[in-house]
Amino acid sequence: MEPVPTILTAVIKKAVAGDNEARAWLYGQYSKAMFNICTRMTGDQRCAEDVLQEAFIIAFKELGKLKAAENFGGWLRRIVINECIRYCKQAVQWKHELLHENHDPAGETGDWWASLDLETVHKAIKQLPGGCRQVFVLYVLEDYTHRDIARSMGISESTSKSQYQRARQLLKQHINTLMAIHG
Amino acid sequence: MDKLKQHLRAHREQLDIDEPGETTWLNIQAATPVVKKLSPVALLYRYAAVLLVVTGLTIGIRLLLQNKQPLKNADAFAFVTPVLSNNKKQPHTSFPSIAPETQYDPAKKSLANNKKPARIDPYELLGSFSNNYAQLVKLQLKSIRATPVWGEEPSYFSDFKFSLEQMDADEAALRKIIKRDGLDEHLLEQVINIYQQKLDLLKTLKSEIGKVNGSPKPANADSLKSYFINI
Repeated sequence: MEPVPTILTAVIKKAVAGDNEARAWLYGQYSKAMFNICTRMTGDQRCAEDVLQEAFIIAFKELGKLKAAENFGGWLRRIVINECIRYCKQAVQWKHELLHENHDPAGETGDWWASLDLETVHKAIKQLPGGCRQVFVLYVLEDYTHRDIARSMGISESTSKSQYQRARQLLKQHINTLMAIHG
Repeated sequence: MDKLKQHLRAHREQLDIDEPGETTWLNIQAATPVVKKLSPVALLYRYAAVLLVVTGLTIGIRLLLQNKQPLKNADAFAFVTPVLSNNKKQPHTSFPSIAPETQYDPAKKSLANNKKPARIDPYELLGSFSNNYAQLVKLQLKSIRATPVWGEEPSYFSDFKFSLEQMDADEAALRKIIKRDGLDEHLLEQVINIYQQKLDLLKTLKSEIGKVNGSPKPANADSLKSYFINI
């Protein structure tokens, strides 16, 4: 009999065999992190739930193709991001008039983000307009390069870069407004 | 890497604040098929049932291909009948032959040999394996009825009785449909399924009786408390 080195390996084996409890365990472990990727990418709770649902259905159906159980988290994350991108490509309308703004992050004065609580940042990211929000999330949190973003979103690399700068500016403005209102 | 990116990546987990709704998991569950776990005993019964079906069908087809010459004895089915022992009350189980004895008639045989091989009629096939199955079910029922039970009250086995009655009703309904609309592959499969389920049920019941009787008998229980299941 093949040894079972980790709980994750054992659970994934069961889930591949169609065990509902094993799937529920995997969902419980990973759903929150994956859902937050979805909310940041879609900017909407309900759409995020739809995307998450679709991603988990795909993951459970394709689970047999996963070669190493320890890679499950990364593998699932890729499925979730791909589903988010697929959704966003249909939903986002790129605003061409704003694409050529240029802004150098090195020229920003002070680390305006350093003292912020992360909940505020999370909310502010979700309120960014479609297009620049996805670029921001993929570049900053998912560590995509602008080339990767351009390829996956079907835009040019320069569009990705300018959308990122726009997202930074808007994020700063939005957070400043929040700070002014709530202190 | 710019500082904002560094900062947010370092605290990425703390950005995970939102929780998905409960319905999301329910929807995922509904969309992904769940494989039911089967116990080894259930698997064994399933294999046994498949074996019986294959045997029954083989015999049925052979009967038809051999110009409908009936079987002369029930030796082929002897293996499904358990040997019941250690009980004086138990009647001797002799099994009726599946088809009536026929006398050898050389004239008929030569006539039959001159004919072209008969084409398999699905209704005849249905009739043939239905007879075989029905015979198996009868044998199992006979064996169960002849087994004394002392470990549990009769009501303990009422679920089995109810299920068998339901299967009988299902079979009757199916036969009505076949009579009215004709036989097709789907209906044939349903008839086979019902017989399989009946055999599975009866085997489970036998096993349950064995378990119940096998449990230690209370010292004060007298033999009069034994009874036979009326199924």
